[in-house]
Amino acid sequence: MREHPDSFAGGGEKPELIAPETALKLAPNITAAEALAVFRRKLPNADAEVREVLHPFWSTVLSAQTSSIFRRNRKPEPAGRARAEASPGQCMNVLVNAYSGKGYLADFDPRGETVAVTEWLDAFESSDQAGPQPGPDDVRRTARALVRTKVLKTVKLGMGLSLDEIAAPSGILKPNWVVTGDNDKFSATILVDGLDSSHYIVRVEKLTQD
Amino acid sequence: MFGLPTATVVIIFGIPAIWVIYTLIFVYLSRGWKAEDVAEDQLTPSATERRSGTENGGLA
Amino acid sequence: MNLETWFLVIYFIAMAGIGVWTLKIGNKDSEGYLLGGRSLGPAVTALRLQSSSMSGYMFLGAGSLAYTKGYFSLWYAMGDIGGGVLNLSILGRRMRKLSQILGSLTSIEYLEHRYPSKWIRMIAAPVAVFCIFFYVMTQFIAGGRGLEMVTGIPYAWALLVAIGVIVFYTFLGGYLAVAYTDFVQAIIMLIGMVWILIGTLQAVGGWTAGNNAVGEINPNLLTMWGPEGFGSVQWGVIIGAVLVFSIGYMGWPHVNVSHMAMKRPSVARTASLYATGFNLLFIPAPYIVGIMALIILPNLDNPELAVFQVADTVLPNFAVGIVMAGIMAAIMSTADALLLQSGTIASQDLFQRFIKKDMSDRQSVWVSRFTVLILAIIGYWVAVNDPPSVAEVAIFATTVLGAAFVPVYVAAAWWKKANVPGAIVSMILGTVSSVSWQMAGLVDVTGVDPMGVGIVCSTLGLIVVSLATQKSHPVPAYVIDALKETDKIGAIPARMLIGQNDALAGQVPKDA
Repeated sequence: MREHPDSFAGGGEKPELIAPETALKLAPNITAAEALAVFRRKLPNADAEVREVLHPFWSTVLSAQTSSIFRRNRKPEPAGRARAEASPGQCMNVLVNAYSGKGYLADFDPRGETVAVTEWLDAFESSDQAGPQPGPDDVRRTARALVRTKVLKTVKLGMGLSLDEIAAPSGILKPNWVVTGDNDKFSATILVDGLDSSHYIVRVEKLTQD
Repeated sequence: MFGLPTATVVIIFGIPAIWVIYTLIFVYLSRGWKAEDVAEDQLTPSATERRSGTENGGLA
Repeated sequence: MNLETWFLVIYFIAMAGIGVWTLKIGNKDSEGYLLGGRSLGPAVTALRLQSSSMSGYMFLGAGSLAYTKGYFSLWYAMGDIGGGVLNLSILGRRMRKLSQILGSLTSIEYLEHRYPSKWIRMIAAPVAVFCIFFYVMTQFIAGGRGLEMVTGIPYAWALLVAIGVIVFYTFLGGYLAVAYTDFVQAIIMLIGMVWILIGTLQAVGGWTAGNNAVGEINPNLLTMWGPEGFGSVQWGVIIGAVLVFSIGYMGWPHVNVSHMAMKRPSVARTASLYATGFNLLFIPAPYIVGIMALIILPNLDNPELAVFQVADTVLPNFAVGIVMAGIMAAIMSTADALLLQSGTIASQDLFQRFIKKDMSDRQSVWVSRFTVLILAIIGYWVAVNDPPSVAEVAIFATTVLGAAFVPVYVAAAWWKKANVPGAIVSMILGTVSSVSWQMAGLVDVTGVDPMGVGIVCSTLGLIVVSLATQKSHPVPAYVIDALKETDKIGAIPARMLIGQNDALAGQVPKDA
């Protein structure tokens, strides 16, 4: 039997917030000017101010390895055949929102500067989002569920699937931009993702009747 | 017609015709849905799609 | 081995080959391997909707209904033709959007997110597995019967081989994109069915001549009122027949899941055109063939074999091989997809959710495999000892799923007041009422179909209980927000909201 780091977890209920041991602050891929441009695409000719905010995430890395049901031992095979039977382990970065517990497969390796854990905790204070506020075991479970769902969606039951933890859950601070402003018709606050420039409309008000 | 009683012909052609009309009306009335596509496309579709596609049910 | 058997063998090998090939392609880059299978276009969405639920019933059930009841059986087709467009127009866009906002991956998970309570899954998952199992059984029987006819080996052995191949596919089949297979399968089914229909109509000298000949057997067979004539018509049964495959589809968890995989909201529009087009061509065909079988094969022992036997009679040898091989492949891959679905529900939605939360990945897969095997063994045992009528089983399963789930799925997307107690009561009432109505034989006594009774009970249950418990069990604010978001389309503020990254909603700071 393989070890399961999460098997000691008693359950999902945790009264106290568990902080990660390390925290990493990601640098934004999107500049303030680009965030403003996203806002102006929604509200043309708007005046707006841009402010950087950090959102706390958990991050973990899993490796998924599939093998045919009849081929448990993973000895090297001639390249062409081996590919069809057993794929080399795929590493996947999983980010888990520290409030909502929702997990995402990240398409990048989290890189950034290491910061004090207190900074992560400060960021945690800056939001009042409701949610289960997962601890490391919940993060592990979420990450496994997510990766397994993705892999099982494409390879069927005959596949053996083993997931290995490459990196233990740690803290990540993800940069976002809060853009607030208005044009002659609307006033709005939009949250722009600091990594991929996608957006979420926090608030929008119509100023005039047309 | 077709060696069938009139009622049968009316029903087996009439009801499918109603469904065809329903389909066409639906397609016509939902023409505005294109706007939703356009809005989605404007936003770096790959990033948006990947995001929502990889979302799981949280700790469910 | 005869020609047909050779075609069948070649077919299975080819399908397995495609499986291995896609596996290879899929492994080349991790993106395609991990994220493939999403973003379905309209044609695939539409045909998948149809084919993931139809094959066994269409080839055996529809033919037997037609053979025994004449044109009366077309009432089922009348509802069925609209099933796809109804489902897409009512649930399509909303279910896609809402599931995306709520972050649901399976259609039962979606229900649990919309009605946040573990009881939802605890009730929905067993009902779904139960009904899907019945539907899988119809596929088993169809596969066994088809193989029996093609190869000439006895039914018990043919059934064993068919189930063996199905389970083998489920375990080993490397069909990466199930959706893609479903799509190919739908096309094959359509071609095969239309081919059989054309051959049949040629054999009886055209539709009119065929109808005249059927009328000589019993003129009532040409009416929509059943073989006993207008005097004994049961309107309740007719209404049920139309309802069962039209709105009943909206209760199929494995059909609804394809809404969630649509690439764009507007895919539902185009998909509805494909669905209606496919249905118009495909659905009436087996019924007409079944009716014409009365002339071609007047002394059929088992009416369920009407379509297969007619195909064998009217088509040239090579065509029988191709058509039957295609049909068998369709039946088997439907069964394989459904089996996999029940395995997934058992392991993910039941076992892991309620019994062993920290189940390892390997254990989870073994639970799935074990479930599939158990279902296959029970299925074989039932199908070989006392094969139930495919039509009855398929209609029964659809009825229960429809009665249990249609109101909760529709209300999930459309009614903001639908809450947890309402949904629980609705699913239980729908299941219990439709099953007991059927079991108690009330259909014959009252002339009312269990579908009608079940839908009425579950709808009333949902409305009454939801309204009565609004105060004690309000719908959570975030669900209402998600529903409001789902309502919006087209208008200017809506346009601003649409297309945003909803995942960011969880990252809004306090002071934004």
